[in-house]
Amino acid sequence: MTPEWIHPGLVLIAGAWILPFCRGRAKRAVMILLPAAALVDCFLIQPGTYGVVRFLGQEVVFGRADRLSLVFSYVFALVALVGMVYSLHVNDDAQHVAALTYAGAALGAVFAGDFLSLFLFWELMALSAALLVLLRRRPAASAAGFRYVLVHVFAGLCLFAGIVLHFTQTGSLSFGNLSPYAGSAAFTLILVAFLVNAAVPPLGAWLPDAYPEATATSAVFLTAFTTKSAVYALIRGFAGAEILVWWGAAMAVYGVVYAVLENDARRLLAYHIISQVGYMVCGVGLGTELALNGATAHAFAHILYKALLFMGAGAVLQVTGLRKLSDMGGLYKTMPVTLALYMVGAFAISAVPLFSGFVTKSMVVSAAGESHRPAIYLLLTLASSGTFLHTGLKLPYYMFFGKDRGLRAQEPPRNMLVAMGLAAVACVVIGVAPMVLYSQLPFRVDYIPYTVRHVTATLGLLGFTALGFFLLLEQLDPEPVVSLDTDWFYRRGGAAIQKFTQGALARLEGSVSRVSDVVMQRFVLDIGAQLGNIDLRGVDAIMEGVGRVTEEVSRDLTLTSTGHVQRYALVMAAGILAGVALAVFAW
Amino acid sequence: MTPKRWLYAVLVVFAVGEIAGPHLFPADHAHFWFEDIPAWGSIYGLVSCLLIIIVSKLLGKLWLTRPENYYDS
Amino acid sequence: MTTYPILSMITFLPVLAGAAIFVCSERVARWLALAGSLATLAISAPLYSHFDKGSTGLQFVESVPWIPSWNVVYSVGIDGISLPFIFLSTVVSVLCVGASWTAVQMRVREFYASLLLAETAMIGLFAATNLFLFYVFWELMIVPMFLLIGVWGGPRRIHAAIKFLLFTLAGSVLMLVGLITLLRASGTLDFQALAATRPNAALQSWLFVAFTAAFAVKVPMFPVHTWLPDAHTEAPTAGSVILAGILLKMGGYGLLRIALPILPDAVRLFRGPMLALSAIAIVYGAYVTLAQTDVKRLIAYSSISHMGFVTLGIFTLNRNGIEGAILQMVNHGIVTGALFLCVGMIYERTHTREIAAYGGVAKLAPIYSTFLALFCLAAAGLPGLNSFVGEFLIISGAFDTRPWYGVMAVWGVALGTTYILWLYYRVALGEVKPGLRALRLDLDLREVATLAPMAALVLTIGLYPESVLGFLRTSVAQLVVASAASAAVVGGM
Repeated sequence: MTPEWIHPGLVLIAGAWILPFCRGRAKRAVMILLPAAALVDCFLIQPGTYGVVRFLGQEVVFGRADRLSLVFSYVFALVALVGMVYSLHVNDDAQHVAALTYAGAALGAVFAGDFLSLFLFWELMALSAALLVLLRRRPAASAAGFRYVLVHVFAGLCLFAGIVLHFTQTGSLSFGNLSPYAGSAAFTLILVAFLVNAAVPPLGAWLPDAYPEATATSAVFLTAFTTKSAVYALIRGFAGAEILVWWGAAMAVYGVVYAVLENDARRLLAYHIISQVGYMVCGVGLGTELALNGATAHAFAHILYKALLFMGAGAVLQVTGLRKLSDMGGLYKTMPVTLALYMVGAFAISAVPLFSGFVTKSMVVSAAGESHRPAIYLLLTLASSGTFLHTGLKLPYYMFFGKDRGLRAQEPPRNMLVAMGLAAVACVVIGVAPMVLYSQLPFRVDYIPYTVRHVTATLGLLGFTALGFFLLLEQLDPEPVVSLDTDWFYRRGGAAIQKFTQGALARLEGSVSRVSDVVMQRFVLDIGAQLGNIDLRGVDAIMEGVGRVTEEVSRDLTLTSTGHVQRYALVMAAGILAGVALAVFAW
Repeated sequence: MTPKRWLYAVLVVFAVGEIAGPHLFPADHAHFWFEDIPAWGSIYGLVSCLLIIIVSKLLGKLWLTRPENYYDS
Repeated sequence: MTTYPILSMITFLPVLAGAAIFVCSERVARWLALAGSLATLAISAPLYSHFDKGSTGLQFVESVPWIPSWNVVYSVGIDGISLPFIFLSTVVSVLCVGASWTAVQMRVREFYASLLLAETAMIGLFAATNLFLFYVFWELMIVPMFLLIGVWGGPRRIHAAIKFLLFTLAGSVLMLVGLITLLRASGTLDFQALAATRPNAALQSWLFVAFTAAFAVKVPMFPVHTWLPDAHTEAPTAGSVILAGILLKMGGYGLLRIALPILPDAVRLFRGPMLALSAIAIVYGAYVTLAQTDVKRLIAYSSISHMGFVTLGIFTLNRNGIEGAILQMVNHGIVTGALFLCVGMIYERTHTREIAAYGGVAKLAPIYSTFLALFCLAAAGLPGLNSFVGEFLIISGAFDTRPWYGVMAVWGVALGTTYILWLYYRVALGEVKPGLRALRLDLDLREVATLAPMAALVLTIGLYPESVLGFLRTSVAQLVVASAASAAVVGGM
């Protein structure tokens, strides 16, 4: 690594291992300093190519820094810092190391200039995220973590196969736009891998499955990195792929539909991740500069406000131990600060004017408009209404207001509030001064979010969504149910596969084994018997000696039931050996 | 005023603003024809909300929901 | 070139040490074995430092006439293909001695003598440059392995040992027939001479069947694989490590040394079925692995799947595939050997191999679990660790040949990752099982010293595969060219 460039991911991944050796204040200081250092490092990087290494005859690029990768690196490092502040009170080194490794791997993926380094960091992300889920150390978390591993191993292998195929066909491993190869197997495999990580339905059921099972603090990290690095990868490799336009729009609606049925607060938010990523995927598919800028900007804003939302729900979980909306209510009296900060995030995700979502989500929607796609525009706007419905209305209503169940609560630990405050500030700053973000986007921005038409239309949309909410309030009462998603196939299906392998396949292997046993023993025993007889008479001394030794040995040990045959076989076998050796050497 | 009254008042303000806005400030143009419908955002907001809730609940009741312990083996 | 017969020295030093063990007391036996294997490793160092990576000929050659009437010569020499295997043999032997230190308490002298005899046979096989010597060492290997399994093994060791013996001998008999036929057809048993004067195509096919029967049993290929699970499971730790680490590779080595250069027409003829059997071994082996409840048996079945990758790579007949296959043989030897070492270490304490008896080991034995995690991740093919490179090369070679095989291979990697991670999850994570807490599970210094070199190799080869590939490159290129030429050019007999 040249002096001008230290990989920010390395700062986190290697630096994380300092943590187990510190205590108390020093440890907390390191926890904050590491992501802060990484953030500063990201800001100092100038666009260029760094960290090139030769491996297997190919160029592996660890530091491809351009506007796209840099803007993602800023937000990744920033949310890592926020997340670390949020986790200061947690006394589990393993979680911190896993979280920092996860963040560092995401930074690595963003700066990867070729497929090999991308794959390395991809797998590292999957591993550390799975570990993060598992570290809740509860049976449900272990099961969900293991399913997470399975899904991401599958995605990793799709990526691997796609990379190998691509390499075989083009001789190159560099990671760039793949549209020249559209339709080829490599294209599809790599796309599928990215789509799994972006939690695109039907491949995304792992997200609402795993995220609610993690600890309150781990979930903040989980929401940020896997899906957004996949969005980055899609922007890099699949910009303009038509199929993503419809898929993204469908995804945006899908998340919103499932969220209506959700009772678990964080699972509801997880479905909203799917919904918001749908906007980004749609933007990637639209492919225009405005659309790609929008996808990037929305990813940036989303990381921050989603972290804020999860931090709020996590704070409630931390203080009350509750996760289901049907159990919550009346917390506004005892957790007003949490509520206020949460609402900042809710307004941000709902694209309320003066908050971050307003200036980012609308870029994608406008791009749909400019590309003359009314259906997409309507779908995305519908999803916006749904977003406000759930995160801005349903969740806060049932969590903080609603039925007063006399829950005893207080504000969460101060570091959690500080972290939430940081994220809230960012959401407001971007919303009030969008040029701060716009100036970092990959393409030049001509877009003006604050137009009268836009502001009034948005206010109308949100306001009348609230009306609909209150009209149908009873319909929305949370019920203690789970909804089936595509993870059914490997949760129920997994049991079926296990039965198959343990049953049918084991029987098959047993019969193959028996066939070969019978054939081998009959065939060889017969020939052996002949040879053994000849040698017994022919070469007494050596043969008997060896036979006696092996017989002695076998007598010392506990034999299995077929004693006679075994002893005979031993003697005979030794005879063959001796006979062959003699034939060869003493000729 | 009760919260409900506040809400209705706000909604009226939004709707009026939406209808009046494009006439007072005609600078921006719309992408599509339906955006020129008066109070388009408000109408679509209400429609979307109702649609989402009703359709999702239907899907849930008919197909997707199961008791909480469905996956516990 | 060195001035002393280095190959003969490292071949026979182990067995000499083994003989010396018998005149010493039991207490000294272990130390003598350790000294012997370490000395062999040390003496072999010039092989690597003085190896000419650009040369296509044999190096460090020694040649002494032996049975003149049969035109049999004692000649040894190595090229880029044999060198990695010799490395593997010397290293694994040292580690086996270390791993058995406390595990073997009965007939200690015989045990270490058998280990050292096995080392001699291994190194001799890889160094041999004619078929006669090859065959002698091949057969010689059977004796110590049979004893290791049958005497020091688990409850069903007799059954396993006999099964091992019968399967191997069946193949050996056919190889002997092939050897004699080849001798009479070509008049020589020297590998290089045989490669130059190939027999005609029809004869090649028969010879291929004969030789491959022996090699296929050793590898093992489907469907003659059923001796392996029993042998690996019942063998003592050192036995399993040698079995998985070296013995299986002898089959692969045989294919590379004998089948490809000497019988190229037959290889091309049988390539399709061989590739198909390899693909079956990969996927079938992986599926059966998923169903296992005994941890040693699970790792044993995974070897069938991994060696399927190797034979797939060999029969792609292209550079990536063969380089990947050889590298993967080295990798598998290290990783699976290390996994068996890990299993052996914990078995010494718990005396059970049932996976259901384990759980939460990570909390009780963090050092052990870290090593285990590293080796499991290596087996799963995590990039940055050794197996990834081998798999990458084999799969790109397979895609070059027939894409369908590449797909099967990737599917095999998917299953492989699944079963190994599932194993780790059940053993190390999850709830701590009752009965484990009372035991002192974590590793002592000797055990760490045994595992550490394996871990170092896993990381080194993973991050710097040139360290192995650099030696292979020239010889593999030559092999690919040789196996592509047809017998018609050379004129058969």
